[in-house]
Amino acid sequence: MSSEKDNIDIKDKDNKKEVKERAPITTALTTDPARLAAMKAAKKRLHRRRGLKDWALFTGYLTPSLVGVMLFFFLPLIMILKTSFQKSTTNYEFVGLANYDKVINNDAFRDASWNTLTFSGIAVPLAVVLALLLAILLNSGIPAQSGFRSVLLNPMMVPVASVVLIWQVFFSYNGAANGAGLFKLFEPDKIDWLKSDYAQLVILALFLWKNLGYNMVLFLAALNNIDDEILESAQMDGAGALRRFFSIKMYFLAPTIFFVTIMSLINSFKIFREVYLLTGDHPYTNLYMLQHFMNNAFKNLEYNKLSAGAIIMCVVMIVIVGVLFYAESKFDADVEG
Amino acid sequence: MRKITRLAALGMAAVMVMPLLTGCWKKGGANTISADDPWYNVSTIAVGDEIDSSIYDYASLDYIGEVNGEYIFRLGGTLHIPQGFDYMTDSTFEYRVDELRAYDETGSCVKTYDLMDIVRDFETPDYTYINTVTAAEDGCHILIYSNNINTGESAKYTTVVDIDAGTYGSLDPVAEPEDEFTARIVAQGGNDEGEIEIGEYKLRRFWFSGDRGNSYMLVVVSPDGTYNEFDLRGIVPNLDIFDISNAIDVGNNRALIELRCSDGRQFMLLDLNTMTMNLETQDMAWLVSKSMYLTQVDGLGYVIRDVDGIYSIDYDNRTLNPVFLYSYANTNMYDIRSARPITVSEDRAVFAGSRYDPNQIYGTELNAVIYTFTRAESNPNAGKTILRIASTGDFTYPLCSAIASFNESSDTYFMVTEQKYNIDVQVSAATNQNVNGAQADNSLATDDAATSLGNQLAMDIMSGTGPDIIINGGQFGMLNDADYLLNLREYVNENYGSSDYFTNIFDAASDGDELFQVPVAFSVRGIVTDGSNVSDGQIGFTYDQYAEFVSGPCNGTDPLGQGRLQFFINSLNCMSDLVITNDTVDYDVEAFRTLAEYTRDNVNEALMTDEDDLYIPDGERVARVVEIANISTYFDAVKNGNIVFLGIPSYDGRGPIISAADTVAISAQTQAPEACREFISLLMGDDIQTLYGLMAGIPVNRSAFEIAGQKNVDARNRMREQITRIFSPEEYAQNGYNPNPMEYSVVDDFAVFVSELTGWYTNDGSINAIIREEMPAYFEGQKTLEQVIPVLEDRIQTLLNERG
Amino acid sequence: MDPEVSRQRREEATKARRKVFTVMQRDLSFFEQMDESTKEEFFKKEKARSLKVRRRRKIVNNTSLTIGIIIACAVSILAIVPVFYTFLNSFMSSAEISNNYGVIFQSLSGHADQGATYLSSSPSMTLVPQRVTIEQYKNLLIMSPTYLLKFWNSIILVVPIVVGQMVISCLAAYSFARYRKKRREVLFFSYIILMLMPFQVTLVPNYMISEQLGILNTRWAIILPGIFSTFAIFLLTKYMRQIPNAYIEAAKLDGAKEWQIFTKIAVPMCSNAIFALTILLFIDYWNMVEQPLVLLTNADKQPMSVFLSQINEAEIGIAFAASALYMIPPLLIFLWGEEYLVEGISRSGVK
Repeated sequence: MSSEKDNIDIKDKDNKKEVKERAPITTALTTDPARLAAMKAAKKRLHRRRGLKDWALFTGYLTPSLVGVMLFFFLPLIMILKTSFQKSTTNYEFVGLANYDKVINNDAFRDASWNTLTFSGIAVPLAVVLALLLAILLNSGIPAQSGFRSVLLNPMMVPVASVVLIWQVFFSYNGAANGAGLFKLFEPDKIDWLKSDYAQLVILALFLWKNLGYNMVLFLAALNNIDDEILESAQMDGAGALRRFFSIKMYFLAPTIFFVTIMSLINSFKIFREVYLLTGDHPYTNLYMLQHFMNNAFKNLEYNKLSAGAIIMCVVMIVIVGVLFYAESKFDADVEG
Repeated sequence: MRKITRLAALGMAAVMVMPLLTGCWKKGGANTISADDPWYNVSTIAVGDEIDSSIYDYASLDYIGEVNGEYIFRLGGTLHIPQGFDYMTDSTFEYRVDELRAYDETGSCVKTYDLMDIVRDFETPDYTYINTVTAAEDGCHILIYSNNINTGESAKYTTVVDIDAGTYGSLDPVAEPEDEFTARIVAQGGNDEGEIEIGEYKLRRFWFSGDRGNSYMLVVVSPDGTYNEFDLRGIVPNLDIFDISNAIDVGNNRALIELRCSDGRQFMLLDLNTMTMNLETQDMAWLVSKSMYLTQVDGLGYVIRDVDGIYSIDYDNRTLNPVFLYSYANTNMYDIRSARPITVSEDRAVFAGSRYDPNQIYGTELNAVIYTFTRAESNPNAGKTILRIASTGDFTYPLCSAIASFNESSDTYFMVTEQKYNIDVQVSAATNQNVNGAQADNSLATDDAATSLGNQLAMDIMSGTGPDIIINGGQFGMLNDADYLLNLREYVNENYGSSDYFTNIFDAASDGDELFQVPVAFSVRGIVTDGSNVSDGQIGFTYDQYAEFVSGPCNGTDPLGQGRLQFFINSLNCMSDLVITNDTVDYDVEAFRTLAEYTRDNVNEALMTDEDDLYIPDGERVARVVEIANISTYFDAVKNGNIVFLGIPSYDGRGPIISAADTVAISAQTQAPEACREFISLLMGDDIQTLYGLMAGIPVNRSAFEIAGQKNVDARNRMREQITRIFSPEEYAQNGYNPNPMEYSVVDDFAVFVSELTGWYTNDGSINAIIREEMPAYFEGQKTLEQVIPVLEDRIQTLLNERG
Repeated sequence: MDPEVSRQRREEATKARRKVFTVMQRDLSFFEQMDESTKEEFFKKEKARSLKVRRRRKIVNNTSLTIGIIIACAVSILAIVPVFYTFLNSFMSSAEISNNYGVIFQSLSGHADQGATYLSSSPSMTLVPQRVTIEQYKNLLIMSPTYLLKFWNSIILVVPIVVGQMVISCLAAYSFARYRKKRREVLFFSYIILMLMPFQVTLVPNYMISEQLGILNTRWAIILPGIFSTFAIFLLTKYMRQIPNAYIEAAKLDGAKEWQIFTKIAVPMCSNAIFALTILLFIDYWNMVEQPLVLLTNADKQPMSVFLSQINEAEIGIAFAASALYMIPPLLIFLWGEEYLVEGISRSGVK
């Protein structure tokens, strides 16, 4: 009994709502400009009030993070920006782009940027593609999939020192890669790997070894999430394996690819630590990266050069990430629609 | 809503920008001295001038203390022992001198007392010695050790001497402390090392040596006679303790006991209330780094006698508080530092020591001095601006003299020393602490200290809190920049011309038209050998010549004996102008190759011990590497007259190089550049330069050079006289000395030699590091030069490019 | 206008706004359009063809499967060798380690500044120690307290960072997920850029700011920037944006306040991602080296990671044991959270 009443009440409420809402709209049908304007204004006010409340609320959630980020990340960036326009550490004269000029014309900086660019340019796509292949491999019915997954994620956890030790043992002039095992069969000349033209390959190997596992797991999971139905129906529709892969899987993997690319980009910068421990302050040209440049500028107390270099690096990264972001948002729009 | 966001954004921006803006305007206006700053007036009493030191072979005058307003000194030594004296059978008693001398405030001796009178009264005066003399109200307390060789016994006695009356009291034998535990512990294998007093408690020490290391057993004896034993072998079994000599009272009935262990110093806290002893686990770096300066001063207990003053130990706050800084009075800081603090309090301080007279070289002049500091009511320097002078090494006597005379003469400025950037202090602190057990390597610690202090210095200069004048900043290569230091090239050119100064030194130290650190005194590096071993007119060695030299006259022993890497780097540093030009490095040149090949083929890896001590000359040595750091070293090296001084092996056989200089630099941030320049001119003046010449470095001032040289010649002649009294001229010559008196012309020759030097030793740590990494491969024969050179060039070129 | 039509229109508009999914008309597939007879024919043809295909496919499948397994095994071995190595070698005695690896450490001067120099002879990589001892572990754990202290330093640095960053990131991610105006997107974009900056870029200002705040040489100089790092925000935002709006709208209708929506809906739904992030962050900060080196000048506040990167000759013996011990916490956390990790990452990358 009571429930019925409740229902009626609710219905009444609805009706009441509808009545209320209906009223303005019927008057809107009169197309009276004054009334229309008033109605629009009322709606706007409603939205604004709600908007302000929303804004305040959500910004409140954001505040702790915002304060910290402002203090520890934005403020330093602004300070760096300021220093990059000053004459020297003790002289606060504004010299415009002189520092940037000096830095861009600095051969060492050019080498460093080129190296960093090429390294990231090769390493990141490789990391993404190889990880994808590995994921597909593991996904195609190999047993003990989760076991392989765990094992391949291990390299992420090994401390830097052990890695450096082992790489050194392998690749130094007298290391294993030069004298032991298989190489004895071919007997090539000894190569001092880290000081030759192959240096970047060695570091590339290190980077891939470390990061493939992580990327692969991401791809695996994404692959697992693709609806099998779609794949099957495509198969029925006569699509070959390759076509299936490119059209459908890639489509669904696109966001993951974006994500993995950004993660790999971050990690390709982090490889600096291993390089530094392996080769010190001034490595062979191939390995000399932007961070070496900045580290040394810091040691020599040349803060203005450091700042100019950092700002240039920042700008380049904004461009790259901006492009990636734009591409992703395009994809987003498609998938969502 | 828009407006609010805009306001908020503006607000945030303002908050962010404000600190940056304020950062722009640095604190202007240096500090000034206020009238409340502590200041002491100094009175000096110099004693001992009346003593004729020529009658003694060896003698010293030590301050004992004050008795009845008179200053008591003890003069001990030996008279000249005649030739033909047989130490086995003859008695030394007649030649011993031991007397007490009392002086009044004017420094004249009013009374003496011959302590040998006491000794004479013993059975065996030859084996009786006065151990210690301490001053007290009733006279001087004497502690005598006597060995009776007839009975084989040894005993200790004390007595009191009344100088006024000229008598001494009864001889009281000193009883060995009788207690229950000593015998027992000694029976277990401990060595009785005596006791230390902590207030009214006594700490008895027994040393045990064992397989796992040495340790101690400590017994704390309370005033009421009870005792507690602490076996450190059980409490801290991992520590290998080789000495315990200091127990610092830190208040509240607690004492810090300093353990000197094989891998550093540790402290244990002894709580006398609860009678417990625990290893101090908290961070004691603040004390350990200064523990070599630990000393006891009457009235303050244990203090740290640091380089710039006396600090008390505040255990609870883990810090050192200044009690008496040497800058509180206008004296030569070096003098005060060398003297011993007798008593220190807020109103009065007394230091005693021997007077340092730079003119007395090899002298046995007996002189002592007492500095009495009495607190002044207000600081007479009030209102003067403070100028800060920092040194990365020691504040030497000439420098302290200069500072003292600057302070006296300047009306507007007062110079204060800054110890923060002292590399030596930091190095000894690090090696004392033995962090990680691996810092025993001194050169590594020095490099570390140099880098971190250099950075610190640069940051301080940047922020406006750095010193105004920097002494010996040569290690901080990163500072050689107009941002940090003033370019003094023009100043030097204008004021220090070639007629009065060795301008070749300035030229060698400059980099083109930039000179940031002006050499005040310098040293020269090279090889010294007999003229007959090399051809006439040769000023240096090429590698072939050197190879011949080593295999020929040196009989295969390489005088450099530095090991390959060291040799290589040294030589490379001498010829950096051949390989690095215009910021481009080119190692593919003859010079480099020859050096590399020579090093690989001829230099041994085995390192010899440190360079010979020049003061124990070995006439047998054919050649030595010498760093002539002052004029007397040169004379030591060239004693025979036929000695020549050649350069270190180099590609073109160049002569000796100038290195390691005392330098002075002015910070670019200083508020008083004129005053700083005045100070430099003081340092370059005749007086201070002469002091440098006598003590530390070869002066750049020609007349000072001459005067110092002549004094050196005089001193050597004097010493020669003294020694020929004992040894015959033949024996003298055997030791490598020239038996004939030296002439002043030697000084002129040396001056000519110095004025022809041109090479400057450049040492770049980063380049050295890269060479250290790459060259061993070549030296061990595993790589060829073709493989090594490209890599070296590549890496060093990156380094040079980086610097812009 | 007809009120019914307008009501329908309004309804559809509301539904569109709220993105409520309705059943859509789907085109019949190729398959479903056929009638019976054609279906039979099709099937017969298919069967015939597919038999051949299936047979061929089986062979291909088998071979490709074995090749796949081989590749996977090879890669796995490569991945796990160093870990294995470290663990096994930590059971060697000091003498053996010096014998085998001494030459490496002679060239390491124990400073991060001076990288590995020339190895004069080949170090021998022995996998299994000749004599198994636990001497190294004894040295490490019992003999001297310094290493445990460093271990503790590591923990005391990493745990606050991870916990703090998670809390702040959840809040911030919620804000980014729910409030998606254009300006907010720009802020989000800049967060990503900040995430990418290597440490050297902000090193000097961080140093100066820490000095101004008076936290230099204390742990806070490292913990605070770590807490406000933006990596977690990026991941969490992506995740939270996937929560269907339906849930939130429903909660709102039930009268829930934002805070309740946050705690009762958003966070639990992201729990996988939160676990995943905790593990990732832990591993990342457990290995950090540059920040402590620069910002913590006091040697005994340094964490274990710095120590491990500066091993010198005097300590070869414990190097392996220390590395092994050092790997254990991340390994444990990883094994425990693996489930959550994989599931969590999976949902964050895909729409």
